[in-house]
Amino acid sequence: MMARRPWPVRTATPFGEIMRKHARTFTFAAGFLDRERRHATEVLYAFFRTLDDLVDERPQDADIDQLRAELHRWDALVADPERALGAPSPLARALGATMLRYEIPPAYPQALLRGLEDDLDGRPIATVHDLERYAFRVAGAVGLAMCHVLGATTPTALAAASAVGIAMQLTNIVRDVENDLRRGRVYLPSDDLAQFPGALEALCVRRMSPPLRDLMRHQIGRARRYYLAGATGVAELPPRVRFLPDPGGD
Amino acid sequence: MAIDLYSEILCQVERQHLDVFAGRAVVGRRRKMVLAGRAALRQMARPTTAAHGPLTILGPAALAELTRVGVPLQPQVRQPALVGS
Repeated sequence: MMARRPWPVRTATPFGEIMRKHARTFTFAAGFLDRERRHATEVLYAFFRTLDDLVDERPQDADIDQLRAELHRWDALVADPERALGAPSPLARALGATMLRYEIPPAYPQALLRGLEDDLDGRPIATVHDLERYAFRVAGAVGLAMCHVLGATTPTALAAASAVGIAMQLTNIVRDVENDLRRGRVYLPSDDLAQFPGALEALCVRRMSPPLRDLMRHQIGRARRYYLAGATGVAELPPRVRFLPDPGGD
Repeated sequence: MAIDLYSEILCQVERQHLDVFAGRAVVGRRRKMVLAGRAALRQMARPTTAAHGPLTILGPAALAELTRVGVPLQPQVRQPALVGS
C-alpha cells in the first residue's frame, strides 16, 4: 500500500521557512511540486527574497556603498556556481547547487541584481518601459529561473514566465502602494501619474480619490494583460508541473 | 495555478473599491483552495491558450531584457506591444 502523501506538501528546510514566512500564496502553490523541485524552489525564493530584503528593508542610515559591494559579491558568486559551492554562506552553496542541477544561466540571477541596484540608486520610474524593465529584473528573472526547475525552457515558455513575473510584480505594486509610500517610494510611472491629474496629490495625502481609483484600474488592467500573456506558457510545461509556481510574487 | 492565485489579489483590490489605503489585499486559504481546484479542472480539460502570446504583450524593455539574458526571441511572431497604452 502506498504511503499517503500530504496534500499539499509542507516545507521543512530552512529555506522553506523563509518562503513560508513571506510568501503564503507561493508556498501554497509550491506545495504541489515534488520534493526535489520544491526544495529548488525554496532555495531560489530564499535567494531572491534575501537579496531583495537587503535593499528593500535597509535602515535609513545604511551604507549604500557597502550594500552595493554586497550585491557585487553575489554577482560574482552567481557568475560561477561551481565557486559558490565552496562559499561560506549556506544560501550561496544551495544556490550554486541548484543552478548547476537545473542549468540555470547566471544571467537570470544577475538580472535581479541589476534590478536591486536600480532600487538602491533610486532610479526613477518615469515611463511604462522603466516599470517593465524594473519588474522584469526583480520578478521576471525569477520566472525564468523557475522555468528551468520546472523543465520548460522553450523561448515561448521563458517569455511567458517572464510575463507572469512582471504581472506579479505589478500586482505587488498595486497592493503595496501604501507600504511603499511609507518607505518613501512610488513605483507607479510618472507618465501614468500625469495621465490621471489629481492622483499624485491623493497619493501624497494618502487618501483615495476618483483619479487615483482610475489610475489603479489602469494598473490592474495592465497587470492582467501580462497574466494573459503568461497563461500561454502553461501549455509548454510538462503536465506534471502545470500548476506553475512563480516566486516573482509575494 | 500561481496565475489564478496571484491575479485574485487584483480582484480583491477591486472588491475594496480600488482603495489601496483600506488594508493590504489578501486571498484567504479557503479561496485559494477553490481557485486551485478550478485551475486543476481547467488544465485537465484543456491546456491554457490565449489569443496573444507573450511576445505580443511584452513591451520593448522586457524584450530587450530577454535578449540580454540570452533568451532567443522569434521575430516572425513579434507584433506591436499591447501593454503601455
